[in-house]
Amino acid sequence: MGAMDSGVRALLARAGERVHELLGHDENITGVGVGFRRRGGKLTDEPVVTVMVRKKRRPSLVSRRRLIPAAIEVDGTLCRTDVVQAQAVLLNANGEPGDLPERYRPLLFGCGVSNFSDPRAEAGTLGAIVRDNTDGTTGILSANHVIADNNRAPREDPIYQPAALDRTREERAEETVIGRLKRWVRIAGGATAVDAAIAQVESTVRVQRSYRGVELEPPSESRPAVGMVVAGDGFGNVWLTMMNTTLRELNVTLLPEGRNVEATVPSSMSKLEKVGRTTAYTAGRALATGQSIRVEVPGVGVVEYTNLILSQWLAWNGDSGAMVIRKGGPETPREALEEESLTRLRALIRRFETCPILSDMQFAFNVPITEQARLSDEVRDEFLAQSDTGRMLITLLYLNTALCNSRLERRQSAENQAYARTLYEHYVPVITEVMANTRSTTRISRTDGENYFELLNALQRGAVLTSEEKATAERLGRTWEGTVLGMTRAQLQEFMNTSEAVSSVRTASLEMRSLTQHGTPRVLGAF
Amino acid sequence: MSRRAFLRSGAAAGAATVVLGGVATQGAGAAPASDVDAMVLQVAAAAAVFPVSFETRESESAGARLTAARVARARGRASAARVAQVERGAQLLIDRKLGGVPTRTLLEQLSAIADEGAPNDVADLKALVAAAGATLADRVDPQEDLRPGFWLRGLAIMHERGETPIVGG
Repeated sequence: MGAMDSGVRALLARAGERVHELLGHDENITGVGVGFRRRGGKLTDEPVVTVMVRKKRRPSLVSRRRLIPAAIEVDGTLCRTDVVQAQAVLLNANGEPGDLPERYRPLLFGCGVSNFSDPRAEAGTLGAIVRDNTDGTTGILSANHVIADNNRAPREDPIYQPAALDRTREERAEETVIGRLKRWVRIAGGATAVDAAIAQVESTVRVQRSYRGVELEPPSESRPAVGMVVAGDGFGNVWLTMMNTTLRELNVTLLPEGRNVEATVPSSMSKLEKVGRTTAYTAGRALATGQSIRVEVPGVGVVEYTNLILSQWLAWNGDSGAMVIRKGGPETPREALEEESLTRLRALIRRFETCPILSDMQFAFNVPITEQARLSDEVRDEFLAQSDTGRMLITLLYLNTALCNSRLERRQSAENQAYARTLYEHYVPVITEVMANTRSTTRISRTDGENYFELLNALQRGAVLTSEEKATAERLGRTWEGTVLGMTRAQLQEFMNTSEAVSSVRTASLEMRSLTQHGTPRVLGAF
Repeated sequence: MSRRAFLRSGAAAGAATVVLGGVATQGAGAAPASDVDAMVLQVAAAAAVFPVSFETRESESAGARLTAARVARARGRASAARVAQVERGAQLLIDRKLGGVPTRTLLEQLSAIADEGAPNDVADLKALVAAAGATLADRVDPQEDLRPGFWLRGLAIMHERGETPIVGG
């Protein structure tokens, strides 16, 4: 199988976007990419638009509305599609439990809210306390899709805190009303850079003077608000609208007043933090800015969200509306909160299925690696999930399961199998020891480094990596081998949390053009 | 010609030439100084072409690096005890009449000894492979056991599985 022509790839990518436009709302679709057709379990030479689905069904069992077309026309060229079952799991939003579902009086930003007229019991996040510049009153800010039901809610619609989804049996709905929907930035077909609404706070509801959050101080000059959580893909990618645009469009001011909003886009790799209804306090990074994604907005259709900030593992279903703050420097230590954040993220990641390529690796390399499923989970949850770089790798792996599966469909050569076995025999005990002890003194040796490069050779030889991908991975290895040499597990984990490590791994992943970078974006309300 | 004289006359260099595509790989007057050095070169030639290779990061081609001078340099970086072990490893192969054999045959026999040989013999072979690796690349430490161990274990596994190592690829 040869490399794909760049023109063909570009054409297929556009066809993929069309598929996304047509069917991106379908919850069965977990991603769209470009690849080669698989037939009878084997890869062919035919370039196709790969549509990843959670469950593949025979076309006769799929309604016409949801049927993935066999081909998509782009500029007069028919681009064929191939439907593959991707093993990555999107978390079920139904009944998504939250960490901050309780009643908060006075109101604190970060807690759960919803509106009355939404037919579904829903939950999103109270993003911020604001002053309405039109009349000077105090209001709450959240996402349009959380408290205005995508333009469909009437003005004066009651806003609940706790959210309807989180209400206890003892709580009567009317006792949880904190305000009335006042206005929103309309989400229409086409494009939007804002998904936001405000509600006027009821006179009987107290808002704390400092307007602090459930677990977070309000934004300040050194910790300005930069964005609002609006969408995610279920693989860890999270998109934020810009806070300055949101406030301007709604004509409101963030409280307490002051220079507390980032005027420009945050610089790449800035550290971010937020508090939200589902995952409470979490920290992440701004990986990219100026992003555009297409989101299926219920009742509106496909909307292009523009000028977004991309982050990862910062939020989950039910966190929509959460205000995101750029983290301050060391003057604002949050070790305890960050520990909690890591614990939450680990719990979230633990809900993903075990590494979805183990059985394919076992087949291709003839090593009994499925016996190490528990160790694989441990590496994912107790090591990778503990750093920004590691979580990025987790996201990439689950997003690219179909690609990995397709490249591991063939048995490797006897030499590669034997080599894999030597690595397996050597590294399973080493990794077991290292994972058993967070303070393990085992260090990365020169041999480990050489094994990394030899492994890349073997993977290219076995067509698991393309030559371009191998070259990229080699460059990455050469950049950092001197730095990581001699590191223990704890030191490596710390290194993987540095901007430099995150940035270089992200750059490398973007250079590997076959990799899918994100799944289908969806608004992050829980219902 | 005696076997020793045969080896000294550069048969190992000839073996390297065969496996590397018929291109003469040694500089003038670079014949191995001993049959042990010749065997180090022969193993280095195998390590350069067996798919499970040593990551060398050398700019010169493997063929250009298969020189007696590099063997001497690798030996110079090893301790006396290690050199003695290298010699035992080489002698083990020489005793099995593997001097000057084609690389494929050498790999097959290495594969069998790595799988079924006595632990002491395998340890000596590791030293020999380390010297071969150090000949191919300055990065490889002739005192090291781990990487030669990986290389030999890969061959042993192939023998366990009844597979014949291929050359190249």
